[in-house]
Amino acid sequence: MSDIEHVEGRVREIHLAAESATILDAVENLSPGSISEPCFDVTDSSNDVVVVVGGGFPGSTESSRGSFSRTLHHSSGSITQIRAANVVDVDQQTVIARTERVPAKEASDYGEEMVRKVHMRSRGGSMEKSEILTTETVSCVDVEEDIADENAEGPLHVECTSSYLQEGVTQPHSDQQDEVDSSKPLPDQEELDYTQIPEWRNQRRQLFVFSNSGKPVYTRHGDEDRLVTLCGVMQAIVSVVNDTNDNQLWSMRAIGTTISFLIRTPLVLVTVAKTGESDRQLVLYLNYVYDFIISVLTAPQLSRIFIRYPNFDLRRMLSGTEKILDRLVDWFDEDFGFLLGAVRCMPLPPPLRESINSLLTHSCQKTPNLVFALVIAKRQLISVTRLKKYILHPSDIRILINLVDTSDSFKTAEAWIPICLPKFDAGGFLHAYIHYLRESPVCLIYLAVDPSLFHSLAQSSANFVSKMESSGNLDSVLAAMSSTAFYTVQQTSVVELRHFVYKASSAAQLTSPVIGHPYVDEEGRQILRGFYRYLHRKMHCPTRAAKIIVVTSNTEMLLGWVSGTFELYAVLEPSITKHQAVLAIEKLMRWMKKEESQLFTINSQVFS
Amino acid sequence: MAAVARNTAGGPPSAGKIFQFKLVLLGEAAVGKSSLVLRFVKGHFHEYQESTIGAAFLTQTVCLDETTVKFEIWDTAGQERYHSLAPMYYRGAQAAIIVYDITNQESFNKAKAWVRELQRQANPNIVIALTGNKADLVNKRTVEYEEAQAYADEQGLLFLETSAKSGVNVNELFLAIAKKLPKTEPAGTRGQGQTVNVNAAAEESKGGCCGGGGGSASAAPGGAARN
Repeated sequence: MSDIEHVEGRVREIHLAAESATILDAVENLSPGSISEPCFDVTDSSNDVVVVVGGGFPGSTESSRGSFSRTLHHSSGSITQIRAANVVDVDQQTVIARTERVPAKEASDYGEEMVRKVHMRSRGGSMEKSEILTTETVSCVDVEEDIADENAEGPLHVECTSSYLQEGVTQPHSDQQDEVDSSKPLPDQEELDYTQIPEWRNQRRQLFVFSNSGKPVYTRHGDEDRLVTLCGVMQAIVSVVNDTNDNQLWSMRAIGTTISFLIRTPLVLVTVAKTGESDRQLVLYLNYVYDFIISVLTAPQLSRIFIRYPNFDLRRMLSGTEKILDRLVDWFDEDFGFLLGAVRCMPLPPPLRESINSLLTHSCQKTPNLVFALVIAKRQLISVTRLKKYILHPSDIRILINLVDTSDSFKTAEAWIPICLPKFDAGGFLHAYIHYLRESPVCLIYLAVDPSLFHSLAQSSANFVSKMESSGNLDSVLAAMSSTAFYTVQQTSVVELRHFVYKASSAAQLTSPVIGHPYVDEEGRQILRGFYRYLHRKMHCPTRAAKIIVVTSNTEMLLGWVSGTFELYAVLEPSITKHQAVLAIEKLMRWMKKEESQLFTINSQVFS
Repeated sequence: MAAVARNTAGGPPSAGKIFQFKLVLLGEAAVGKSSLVLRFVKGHFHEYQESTIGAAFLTQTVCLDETTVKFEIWDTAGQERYHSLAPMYYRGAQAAIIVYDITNQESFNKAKAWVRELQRQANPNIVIALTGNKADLVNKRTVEYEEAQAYADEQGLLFLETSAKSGVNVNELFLAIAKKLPKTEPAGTRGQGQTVNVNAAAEESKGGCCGGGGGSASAAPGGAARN
């Protein structure tokens, strides 16, 4: 059972979109009620597979996207039909779609299917128009062969998607004609298909990246070469949807599983998650993965490669980074900060942090062409400074931290690497100087635009390191890392509180105590993370974003509070009253205010 | 007399002049460039050395009879995507080690391509050493010693087969390069790089770099001090 079902199964939910100034006002005025579920959620309770498509990406032009759902009929061995009723509803096109006959298998099953026939019927406003798309067989075997031959200059298999689109008759079709020859067996394979292996199918988070031609680029679980067929089928599905009216495939849903798509030509990114996250949340992760690939190649180089060689095997250009990307994907699960768009900051005594900030800024002062400098340790930020006018985006920091922390090769020597920070400039490389201080976990990173700057940065670094040592700062940081850097929720003195995550919005940084009772074991951690994702999903739902949410159950009380300057997600004892919860949260906020300079590096350090 | 002193970057020499040279390692991915350098500089070997990203910078000092040679080593990543950055590292280099894997013919072909590129574009006086690494995997050999030796002779390259794993010929390789480099340019003309780690190294380099091989040498099979 997924985390969210776990939550939803036993909670009474209270929502409000509070305009009130304080949480006390808000909660006092709280009226229990249920706002209708988003239209796409209705199918969660039935055996349906819902496909959500739209003209843009989630999070972009929400109102203009014109979304509708389609029903995918799964029948044994084949996807037999896509039927979509495109109902125009004032300014938003909404569709309710449901499977009529065949209970869908788990959505991840789709991969082993062969697209046999696709029928689509759409209806819009007064005008009624239907299309019947009869497909030729898109044989998985053919796809595989095309892709497997690297040197093949032949037409890409995806081109067939447009050739089998035939605009046609307006007749609703009977179920009879949906019957497909499902007796045709799947192609024999010498090795067992991954999709037949329960261990593979049961992964909580699958991630696939493939090119527009369907050639695998990266898969989180399993060997890409053995997932060629699956990627081909996913590409076929994406193409079928995208070939119609500028639509784009967003997500597919089945019980407990959401499949989310991000199409960033020339790449398609797909995640199959059993984590209870919404498709919008999943797309955030996919954006991180895309950004990672850009950080290795830059956007122009990526598109250049595929313009010249549409059938290129991009794994060649990414070789050596697989482990780093694996780690990034695994980090999604562990760190709520990906969804919050915030970086985790290491708590340090304020005088120590100030001293490091000033040493770092001073070391950058005299170096031309230097843009950013950071000190990190254990995937947390200690200090960051930037050239005037330039901003370092939290997503770029995460990509950087993941790279530096995952690759052991930086630990043995000073490194000088080209890296593209996609949010800063997807079009070119910065050059990063990476140096672990005295082989401790503390790492210094300089980011410069000039590739010939290594020696002067090494000089700056040497100065910085020696000052860190002579001032005792390095020892203090190492001491803090083994003590104050990890605080418990008890230190807040809020007894009703079990755990919380707090994001300081202005600094895009977050803090949380170490996970304590009753969530210490792995299962408990998963449940706790599930709570936070659930709260985040509810609070950032585009159709009814809430400022405060309180969710109570027999086992805990969840509270989410989003304001202009912070976001707070808290798990409290279940036995307390609303009023007690409010007092507890206010007490926490006072503590937070007091400890702010210890928990965050708030004052942005700038050099010129 | 020749010796390799570990972790003595910039330490005060006990004999003669210091000469400083920029050395770059090139070659296909996974042939063992980083392993060679780590064996030479730190005396370590990791069976599962991770892919280098970008390039790593290390220094190591070698003592010859009368002089001290300090190598500034650029260990470059072998992946295809970094190829276009290679000139940044071999530009101005006085020495290059081009590494291939004796069990991988393709890496030998790639090594030849690197030789051609350096002959065309690098410093004309660059000392190039061709190195067949993974010599411990002799039963999987696909590149014959004689073939590589003949190619190296023809092109005027130093040639050695090495094993970063066992340490065989690793120090010899760097010593051979040190001997071949022209000792006309005194240290200090090569700019800022020389002062890297001076502060740190000062205390470690007690006794001077010829005085017995420095601190962490004991871990190295193949020995720090030779002859």
